[in-house]
Amino acid sequence: MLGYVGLLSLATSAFFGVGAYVSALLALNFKIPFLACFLAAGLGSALLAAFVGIPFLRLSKHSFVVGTLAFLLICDLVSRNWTSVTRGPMGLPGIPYPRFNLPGLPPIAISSKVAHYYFTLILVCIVLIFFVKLINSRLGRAFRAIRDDEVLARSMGIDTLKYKWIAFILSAFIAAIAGSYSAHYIMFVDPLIFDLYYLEYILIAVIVGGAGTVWGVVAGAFIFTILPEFLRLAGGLRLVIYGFVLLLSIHLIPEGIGGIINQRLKRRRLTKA
Amino acid sequence: MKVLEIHDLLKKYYGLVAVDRVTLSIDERELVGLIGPNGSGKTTLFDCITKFTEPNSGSVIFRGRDITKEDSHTIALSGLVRTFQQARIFPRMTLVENLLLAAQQHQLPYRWSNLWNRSEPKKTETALLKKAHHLLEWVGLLSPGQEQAGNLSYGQRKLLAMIMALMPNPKLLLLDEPTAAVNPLMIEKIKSVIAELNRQGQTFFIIEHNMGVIMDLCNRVIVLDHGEKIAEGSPPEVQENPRVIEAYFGV
Repeated sequence: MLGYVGLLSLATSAFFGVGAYVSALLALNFKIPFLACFLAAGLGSALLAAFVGIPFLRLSKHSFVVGTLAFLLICDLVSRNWTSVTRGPMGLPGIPYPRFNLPGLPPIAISSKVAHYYFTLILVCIVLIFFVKLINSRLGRAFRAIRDDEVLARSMGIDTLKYKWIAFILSAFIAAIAGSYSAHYIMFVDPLIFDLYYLEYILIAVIVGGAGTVWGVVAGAFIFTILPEFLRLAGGLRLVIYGFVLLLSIHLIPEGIGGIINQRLKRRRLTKA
Repeated sequence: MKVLEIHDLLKKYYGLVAVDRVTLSIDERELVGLIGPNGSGKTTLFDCITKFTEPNSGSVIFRGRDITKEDSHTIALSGLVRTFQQARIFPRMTLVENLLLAAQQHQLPYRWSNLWNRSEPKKTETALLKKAHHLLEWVGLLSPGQEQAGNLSYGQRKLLAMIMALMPNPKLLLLDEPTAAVNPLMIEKIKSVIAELNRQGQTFFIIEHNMGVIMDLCNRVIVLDHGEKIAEGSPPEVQENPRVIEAYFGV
């Protein structure tokens, strides 16, 4: 998301965690149905992003990265120390799996692995369709313009601060609904959700996939989720090989998979013309 | 009617005075040139007008409204559009997208009503698309219309930047060296485009180093030296002004 306005936000994984916590707390304390938790997590995080985004986006590009990292660490500290609500490092166990009670339909419970698989697939498809539509809309055009040349965008009447703010809020919403779903899937949330591990995971997918491309990032996420599973065969060498592949891909395709494919397509179009 | 009035505009960078209390005005339908040796503050003056830098004092009045305190993007939306010296474009967008973007905030801003009324923005977008294609054809960039703008040559980028500035129907167009570092053929092209637009009523304020372009195009020329306005008048008048000759040749 933020790849399209040219910002690197480490707060994405913070909003993932906030979404997970909001959803878990609502489900456990108030017995609210999944769909409501899911949306509340998204909207709650979006609201939080709207507030913290105002000071953050005034920072320079590099300070913005550090600022968002600080925000992630603050979220981590809050989840650890606000024990009366989050139970601190003990976490929140027993989050119910997603259940839908839609009017006119029999209640649907997503409890088996297969059901989770299809639910995830549907969710991912919805988000991807939303993304592709967004990028080709006026809003997406303004985002891409800001990424390419912020000064020029301003000279064309684009309020760059406002558009970056909107991108920040949207990305928080999407991260939070993903966090919410993951909480209901794992049925447990603890402060480790704010661990840098998740952040690395997101960043690897984006960097190897190619920031500012949709399908590149999807491919990146795909490869770097499956790869560690394959590498289980290698036993102790697993993480070594994983790291090696990562280094290699950064060295050989610095623009990411999506960037490479875009370049190839461009070249082909040129030779045709 | 005065389109632009600048009063006592001052911009200092620490000890250096980049724009030294400049006062000038531009009438509707005029084509005014701004010349001066390198480092005389021409681009800084443009930056102060469009608020890409903050002037220290003085005021800028655009169509009777004081815009000295406004933001760059609001100034652009009020109809005062500029181009940049370095031919800035959006390299990773297509030519058509570049042009649509240039106009969208002016003519297609997001409104809450877009949520239920979707035909209205669609109609505007179609009209803008038509205009974009028309402009591309007019300046001879049509064939690569779906091409990424990053593939254009420097001269083509200058042309694209100029028609981007035209997309929102500006009331006043500030061009920063439209023909700098462009081949002679492209210079003629750019010149004819500017002349034709001016004939149609477009007001221009142009920074230019190429004297041929200035002499052929402008009704009036303003000369800056060390940030100070040293001369103003028709091109032949300015050419014979002793202060201008001194500034350029140091005699």
